Amino acid sequence: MTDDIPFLDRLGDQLRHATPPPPARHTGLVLRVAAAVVVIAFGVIAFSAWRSEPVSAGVDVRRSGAHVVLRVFGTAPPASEIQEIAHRNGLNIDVTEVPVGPSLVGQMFPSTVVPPEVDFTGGITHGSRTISFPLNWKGRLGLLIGRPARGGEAYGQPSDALAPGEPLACQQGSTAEAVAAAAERQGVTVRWWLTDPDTFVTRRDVPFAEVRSSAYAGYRVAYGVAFDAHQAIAELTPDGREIPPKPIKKYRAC
Amino acid sequence: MSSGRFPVGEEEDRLLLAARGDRDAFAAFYGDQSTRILAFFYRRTACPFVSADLTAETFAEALASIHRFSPKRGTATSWLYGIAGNEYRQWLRRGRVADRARSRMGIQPIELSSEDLERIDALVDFAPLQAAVTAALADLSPLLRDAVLLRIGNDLTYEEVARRLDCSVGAARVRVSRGLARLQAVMEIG
Repeated sequence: MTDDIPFLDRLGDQLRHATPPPPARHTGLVLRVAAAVVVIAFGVIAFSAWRSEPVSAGVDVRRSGAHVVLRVFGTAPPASEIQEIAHRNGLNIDVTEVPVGPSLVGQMFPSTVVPPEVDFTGGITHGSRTISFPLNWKGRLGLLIGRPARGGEAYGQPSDALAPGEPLACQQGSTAEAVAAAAERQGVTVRWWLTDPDTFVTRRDVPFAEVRSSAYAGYRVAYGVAFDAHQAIAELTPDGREIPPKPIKKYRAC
Repeated sequence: MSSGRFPVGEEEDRLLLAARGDRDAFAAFYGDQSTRILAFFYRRTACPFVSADLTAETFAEALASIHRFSPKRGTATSWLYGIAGNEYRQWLRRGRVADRARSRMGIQPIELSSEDLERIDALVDFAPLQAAVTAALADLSPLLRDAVLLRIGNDLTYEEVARRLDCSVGAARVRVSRGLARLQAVMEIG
């Protein structure tokens, strides 16, 4: 039943004549080969680490099908290097360095509107290390590349305060009391935001004295934003889940 | 048909048969689910063209990966809505509907007729949702509301929003993001 929407009938006709690809065979063999590749790769990485050779910062532009992919790896390469290599490959981008927290070093952010044909998979408190452009793209894009903020320097791009290395590292799900104690030890000033799960209304900058002496004392940290190494916002919700609910992000290093 | 100790319903049966090449089984599954999927997208995007593309991509992906469906991991509808959710999130993130599965399956673009538009529009009553969004906008703090309206309503860049609101670009991004997250929650519930 398609409720008489002609579009759905036409789509159904096409689907009826489409042929699904056959299921993958020799799964066991594929898994064994994949396992061997992982073991070899692990060996190479372990050997490199044993040789104590630092992972170099770099930028790479290469063609992938009908796209050109710009990739940044290692620690933050200088903006001038990214820009020069991009220009050499026909990509008209302007790159500026921006001070960021440890979790965003080497991540790229757009500083201009990203055209729909450009594939940039970043967000507010996380950037991207790869950007994909259509082949022979003639547009122009401004990019920011995260470089480590110097002592006391404000972040040009706010970071996830709960990420490893950031002011409230690994405090996801902790109570306000626990976070306040850790923050005090590290000289971090925390602004407390409280979000009501029913109304989604957030009370901002609630004094800590009120947080600890009210029903909010049992609330847990769901989200955090850091503006420099010593200032962060911690948002508390009843169960430490963001509102609206999202899966809890667990960092491997936590 | 039974798959052993896991109870299998009619929809799951259809997908299992479709995985063995039974085109009628997939057509029956499509017939049952396509209008719901189209409405699912239309409620979230409010755009019939995007909804139609997302629907086509969802079913093309479902057909392309039909061999991966297993009733041991969930029902047929949860599997399908999982694919639909992924397509929706990709669209939100990239600003365009993916066409990988459609290209792979040789599905051609379909133009929407005025009759299509009319029927799709009838799938969802936006009046309560509009009222809810208006109320949610009113509930946002002035900082978030202004940022959302400038960025989305007036289509300004984050730099322009930051200039208008006298804040950093980063702060403007955070305000827009948080405002939209709350509005999106209303859309999900509404």
